[in-house]
Amino acid sequence: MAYKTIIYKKEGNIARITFNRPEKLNSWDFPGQGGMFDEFHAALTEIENEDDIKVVILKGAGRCYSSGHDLTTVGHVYGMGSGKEGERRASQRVRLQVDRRWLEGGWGRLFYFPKITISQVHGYCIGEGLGLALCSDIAIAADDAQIGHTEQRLGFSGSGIGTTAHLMLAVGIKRARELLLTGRILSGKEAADIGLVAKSVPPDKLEEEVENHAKAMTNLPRDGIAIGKAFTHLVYDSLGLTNSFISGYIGHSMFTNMRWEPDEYNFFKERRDKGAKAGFHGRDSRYAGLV
Amino acid sequence: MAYKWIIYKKEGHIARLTINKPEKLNVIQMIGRGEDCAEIYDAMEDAANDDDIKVIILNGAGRAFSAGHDLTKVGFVYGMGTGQEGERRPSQRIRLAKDRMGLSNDLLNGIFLHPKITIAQVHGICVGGGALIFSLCDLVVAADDSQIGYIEQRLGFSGGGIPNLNVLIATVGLKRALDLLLTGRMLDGKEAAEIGLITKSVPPDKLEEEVNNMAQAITLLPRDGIAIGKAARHLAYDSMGLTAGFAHGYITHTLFTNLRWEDDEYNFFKERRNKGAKAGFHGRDARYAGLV
Repeated sequence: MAYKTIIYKKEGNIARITFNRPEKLNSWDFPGQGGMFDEFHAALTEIENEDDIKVVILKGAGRCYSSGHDLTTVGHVYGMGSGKEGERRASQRVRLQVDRRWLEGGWGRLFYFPKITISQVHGYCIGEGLGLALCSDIAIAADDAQIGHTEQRLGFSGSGIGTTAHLMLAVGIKRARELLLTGRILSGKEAADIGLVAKSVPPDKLEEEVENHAKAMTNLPRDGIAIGKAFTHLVYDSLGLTNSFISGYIGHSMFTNMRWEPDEYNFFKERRDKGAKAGFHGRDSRYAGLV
Repeated sequence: MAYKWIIYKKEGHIARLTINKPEKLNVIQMIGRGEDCAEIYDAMEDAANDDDIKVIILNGAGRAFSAGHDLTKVGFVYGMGTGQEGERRPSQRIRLAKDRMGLSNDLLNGIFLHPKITIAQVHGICVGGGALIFSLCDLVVAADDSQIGYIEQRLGFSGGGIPNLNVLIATVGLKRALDLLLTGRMLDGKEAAEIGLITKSVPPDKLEEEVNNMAQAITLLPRDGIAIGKAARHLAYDSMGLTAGFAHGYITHTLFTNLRWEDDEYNFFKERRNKGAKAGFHGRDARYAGLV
């Protein structure tokens, strides 16, 4: 299959998927929109059927791994912003349907993928980017990567992502709550210190480090990898991680239907009135000097 | 999509999915997701995406709801029985991959957590995979004289290899679930209703009407309400551990496919190879005569 928004390569026992929307900082769309999400999943299907692939490396083209969801279009997928007269609020069911396919069907699928997955993190790794890194078996970051759940400043307050429980298990509940309630950015170094990524290395060593990890894992037998992933699935279920994708999509649907009060920062209104860029700026400038 | 193995119709707020392989008692190739199974999945997706559909009724054409998994194909789907010299045991990963395709999350959640209300209309034989499908539906109405059971367990699973073990335990209670699984005994629709395995049982000639009335009653609910109710149950089912059963099911199915059979044990797969599938089934069940 010919891909436009990702680059898919395989060599020996290793597959590489590169998120390839560098001009958009590798931001994500929703399932069914024919963009990077759908192509990423088509590549995962190819890999699933490729017996020789043992390890999948995920990385981003250009300046970053992924800046998260494409917030210039979010909401539109539910039918918001049609520009048609008399447009009504999007229904609860369309929100739930899209959000479930995106978080449970999308992130969840990566989490339970039958091959070993490695995220190679450089530059921004924000929001959905971090979610996908957490859904990978391991993540290795450049020391100067910028990692965080900045999207939580939209107002989620610790909801609306598929990986809340993953984050808590990775770094502990208190650290997880702090990251979610402030949306502050960590360097790759700090992320490694608190266990959010497996390790952090100087930027110029990142590719080599990931490559070596991947090669080390190709020493494992094919059947062993498949069994290991299946049993890890059982453990994840009993730890409650599967539930996180469900609470994530339901929380996301609830969030998209909030009532905003006049003294609250409503990104969606700002985006409508001033454009996405000003919307982001306004969201984050409120935090300057605080965290 | 034009369907070969099912009939799929929509009328008003109700969709009807009829498994249509009457000459095969509506067996379905779940493991490895055969064409028939993929059609069911596709129609369920269509109903999920159709905003006007509120209820889906599942039933079977001919004499049965479904006789379950197509046991004439099982094993071969992993690559067993090629007849080629030097054929090796299938790998663990191909077993896991095919079992996961047929028994794991997207397909089974596609029924269990379908965003619309699902009603199974059960008549005649409903065993194994057929009984799996109805156990994942919101509501089940059966004819009094239906023949319902987990008879496939007599192949030797002994309570493993099914993704709805957790659902079954939560549905009828632990002791009854184990009775059904460890004996593979058949229930009629009446007994199934008495132990809570199904919602209700009615005389055969009233089945269709009963299901239609139930479906009509549900169409009185608002679309958004139906979707929210499903999402709420998704959380509840997951915290009860029911969805975890889907992972247990496919993984233990894989373990089962790789058993070592001893000389004094009934090996269906060997019997099937030597005497054909029909004799294989007969031999499996004849051993139970007069016992349960």
